Amino acid sequence: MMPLKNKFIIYSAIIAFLGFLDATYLTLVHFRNTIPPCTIGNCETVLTSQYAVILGIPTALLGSLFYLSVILVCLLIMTNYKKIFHQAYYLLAATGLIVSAILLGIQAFVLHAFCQYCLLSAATSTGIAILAYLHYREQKNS
Amino acid sequence: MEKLTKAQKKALQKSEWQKEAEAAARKEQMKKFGLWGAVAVLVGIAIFGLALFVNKSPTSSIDTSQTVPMSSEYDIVLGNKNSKVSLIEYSDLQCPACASYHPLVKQILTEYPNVRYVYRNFPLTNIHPNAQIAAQAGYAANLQGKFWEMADALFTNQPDWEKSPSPQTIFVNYAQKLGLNAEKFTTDMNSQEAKKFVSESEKQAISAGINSTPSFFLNGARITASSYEDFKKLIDDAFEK
Repeated sequence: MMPLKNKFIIYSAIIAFLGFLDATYLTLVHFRNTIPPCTIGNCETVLTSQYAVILGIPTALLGSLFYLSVILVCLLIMTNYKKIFHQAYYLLAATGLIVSAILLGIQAFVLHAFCQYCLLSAATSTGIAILAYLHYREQKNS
Repeated sequence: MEKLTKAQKKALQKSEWQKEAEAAARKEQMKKFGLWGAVAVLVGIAIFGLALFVNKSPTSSIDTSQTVPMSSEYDIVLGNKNSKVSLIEYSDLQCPACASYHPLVKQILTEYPNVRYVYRNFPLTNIHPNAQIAAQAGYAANLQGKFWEMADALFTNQPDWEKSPSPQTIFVNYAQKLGLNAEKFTTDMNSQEAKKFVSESEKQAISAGINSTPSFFLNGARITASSYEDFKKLIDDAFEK
């Protein structure tokens, strides 16, 4: 089986998969030009705002690609233990955390509206960042 | 049986070890391939499943059990007034979801000039403090024949006035930009008639059983639609009937 030293990597991949489902759902909804079912907090406002598209690319699609990259890097670490993959993993995790913080800030202070799908994505990317930190600490100590 | 020399035995042992090591490496390789394959399949299934879900999830439907009157004296009517197809919307100018639907409705009005479009005020004043005055601004603009232009300005710039303590100033500014008579607009917006128009619309909406905005009705029957294509399909069907 997988060596135990990869447990944080495995958890990251699982969480990234959840984030991938979330972001891909929003991407599909975006390209279908439908307004997604919003149960709480005016998510229409968020998902149809100018921040839903960054330089012509839907933010949700960027999210999908981000989570897919995390899954890819986690697999690379699991199957080919190279330092560069670890560095890529840390970089991705940090980027995810920063972008999530910015998007959360836009929801709170600019749009004054939240969307549950976006909050879930913020949670998953924060989770990945925490796991990446734990993995980093473990690597340093071993 | 021939006896093997020591050197032969050693060589045999070595080749066996080598074979074992190769087998183990192959097994490891297979495992890696298996992992990659499994994840690739999982991601593929996820994308496919989500696409299926998004495509199948309830998009447009018509519910003939929930109906509203085809016309009322508090209607703002656009489009072809004699059309056989009436699209009625209960809306609140300060509601974010209504603002999200606004581009769809706008597209419908452009693509289907033959549809009778009815705008009915249903300001959710409990949660939207500026909804009432915004609806009055819509009323005032309508008196000068520019309701839709005003609604467009209000929906598009919703974040600029939704929290404003003096939205009237902003609305007068929009009226000026739209080429309305600002003085008449201001008087109309603050008139008793405007207040009554909006509060009566609200009462009628409540008695019609409306509980959220935007609520759409096609020829009186409740419809749900979440994209232009959904509306298009329902409207086309209504025209063909």
